[in-house]
Amino acid sequence: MYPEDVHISTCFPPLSKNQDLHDSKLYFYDLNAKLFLTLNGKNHISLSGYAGHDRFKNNYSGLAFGNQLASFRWNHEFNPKLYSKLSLSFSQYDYELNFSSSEVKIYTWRYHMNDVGFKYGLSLNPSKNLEILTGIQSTWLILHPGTISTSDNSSKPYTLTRKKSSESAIYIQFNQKINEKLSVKYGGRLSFFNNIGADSVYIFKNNSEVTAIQTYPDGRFFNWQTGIEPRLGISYTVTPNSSVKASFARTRQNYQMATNSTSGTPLDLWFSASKNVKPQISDQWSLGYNICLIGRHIELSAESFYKNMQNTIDFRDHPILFLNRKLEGELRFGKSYSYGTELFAKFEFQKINGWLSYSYSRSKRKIQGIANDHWFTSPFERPHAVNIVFNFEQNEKNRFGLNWVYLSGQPATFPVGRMDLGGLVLPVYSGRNTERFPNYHRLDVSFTRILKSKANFYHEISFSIYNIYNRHNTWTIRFEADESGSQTMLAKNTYLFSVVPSVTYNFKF
Amino acid sequence: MKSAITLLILSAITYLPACVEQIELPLESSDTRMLVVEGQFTSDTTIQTIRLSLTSDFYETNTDPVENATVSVTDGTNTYLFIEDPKIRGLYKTPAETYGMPGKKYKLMISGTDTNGDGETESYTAEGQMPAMSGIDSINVSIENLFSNDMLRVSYYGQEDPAPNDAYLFRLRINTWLVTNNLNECTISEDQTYNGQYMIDEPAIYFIQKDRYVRNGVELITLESCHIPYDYYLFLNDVRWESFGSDPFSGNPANIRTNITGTHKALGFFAAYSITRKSKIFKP
Repeated sequence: MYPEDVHISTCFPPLSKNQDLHDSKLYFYDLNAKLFLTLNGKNHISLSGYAGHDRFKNNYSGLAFGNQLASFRWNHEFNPKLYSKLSLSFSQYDYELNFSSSEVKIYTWRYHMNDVGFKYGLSLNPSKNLEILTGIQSTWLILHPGTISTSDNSSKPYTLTRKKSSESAIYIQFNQKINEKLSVKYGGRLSFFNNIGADSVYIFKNNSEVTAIQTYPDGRFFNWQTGIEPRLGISYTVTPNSSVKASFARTRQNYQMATNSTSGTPLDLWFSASKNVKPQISDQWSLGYNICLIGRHIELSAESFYKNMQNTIDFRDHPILFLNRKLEGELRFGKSYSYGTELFAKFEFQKINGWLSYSYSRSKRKIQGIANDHWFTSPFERPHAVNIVFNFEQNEKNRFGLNWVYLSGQPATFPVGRMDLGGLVLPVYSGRNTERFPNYHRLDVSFTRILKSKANFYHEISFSIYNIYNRHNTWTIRFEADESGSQTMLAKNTYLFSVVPSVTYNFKF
Repeated sequence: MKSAITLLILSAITYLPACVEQIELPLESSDTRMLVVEGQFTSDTTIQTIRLSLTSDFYETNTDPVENATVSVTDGTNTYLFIEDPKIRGLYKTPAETYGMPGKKYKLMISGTDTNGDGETESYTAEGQMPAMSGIDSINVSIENLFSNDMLRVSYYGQEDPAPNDAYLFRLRINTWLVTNNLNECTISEDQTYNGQYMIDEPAIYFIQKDRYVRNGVELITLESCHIPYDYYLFLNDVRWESFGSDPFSGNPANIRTNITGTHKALGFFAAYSITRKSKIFKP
């Protein structure tokens, strides 16, 4: 039996000088538990679980989101050339928004998604130069698009119809060593997808006009989608310390996320493939070079990619997202592409280790009915991204860590003009995602003290400071009229965190 | 109820725990000005008005009116001329006792303007059909505590039109005072969740602070129910999202839709709608 690992954190907004933050409550936790069992030399079982939850709360409202995962794995050796891996998994992601209109009534808006997965794979080694991986996998997913309820049950909960679907695949991959310098990986997946009743599917004409409603009874499989996903990877060893890699992969993405605002909230909406939404098909090519230096203490790599995607989804202008039973009618469809290069350096010496990376990437999309059908910047594009992680082990007890993150600002749509209408000042825009939020960056530091390190019990305490130089990274930017009534518009930056100290306690047994 | 919850959530979002600071954010400016139309033609027997203005840079403090335009509305048989108010430039008015008829289609025509200053005059048009009068039998007025404030809650009883895609705009008067005097203070609703039902105590107005408006012991509360075209509802929905700013349910910022077409791109909306009123004496 191997250890369990538990990680609990807390932070201290009440220490903030900012009154808004002072009155707010913020807490989060992550719990990890893993159990390894060796039944005999040929059978190994593991159980793992994870639960994480974040909550922000003040007197009037709250926002919470979390993940729960559980998995079971069984590795079995038939003989030295044949292994099997069985895994069962369950996961849930949810978020909720609470708001109280009075002292007695609390409204809760909740969105959650669950999936149950099964995977059985075989690993066959007919020769020392060939490995064959094959198997089947299946995932059942249930999306609960939204429920709103009241704490005093004064109103009947309003619930959108849940969406059930399953995704299955058979796969095979060959890992073959051609000679001492050349290795190839090739294979593919044959994937199957279907929706599952009970469901009422709105059929749209011109994207948003409902022409029919198709009803499916509970348990009925419908809207079968099948596709082949080939992949190929080549690795060539140039010298004993350097290699070149190239790959191609086609993937079918039956679940897509559509961002519903420019604020970086976790309140995103997921869509499964359906009668209205086709699976996103992406083809990715990549080319990379890797070299190790100074006795492998330093590893350098560079990799470029190009990705082409079909059936990309995005929301139309001014979608009606809240409690909308015809939500798919708010989607628009098109294509997209992205490309980029990442430079990566990793170093590991006796007392110091860490890594740094820089990536340059671009991502564009063309969606029918958005931005006059022209190409526009994807909401996920961050052209420049830098990560620096540096760790220093002072001695066996004390460790210091440093983490610096830099990202180009998130694409945003800002006004270029105004109009006065209906007693309001309203923005006029030039196009979607033509501007950016201010760049994002922060520095986190930590100090970890190992309290006890024995074979049967290990625990440590860690003190860390998130965003130590108090960067007010933008969560969203709003434009509001000056409170003096002069009709002057002001830009207001909303940020979630300033400096956040926290304490983490880890233990393993 | 759905629209009540939606507005409640929008208000709650502004209370989400976060810090807000004013920042200097340079914005691009647009060299060309566009016409903005704020036009209604209603079933009320009154002076009908249409306001014409121009767009301006976002950080400017005002917008210019469009003067000396020729403005009219026609139903194909009758044509109503709108004359510019000599005291309020850009505001065009009909004579008193002008009214529209539910079921009729009205066309707005604007000409004689030069919004982009190129020396060429432009013309613009828009159309809208006036829906039937909405069926409201009576209203109810009560006080509800929201966010630690006493708010007026005005609800109504009445048969909703069984045809789909009906939409409503609710305004509130206290005595003769129109307290919902901008589009954000009004309530808009569409009948997706209650099409054809008899509405019982359906909330129409919920965010009016009692202490700010209810000053006498006895008040005459009047609910104005405007039965509006569905495309005007979508326009008002855009207006609401854009004026509230970015929030988790608003989608990406985008230009507000318009039904104004013409020589150049224009903004705003022309809508024909009917108005029904119900009143009640309220003693807090």
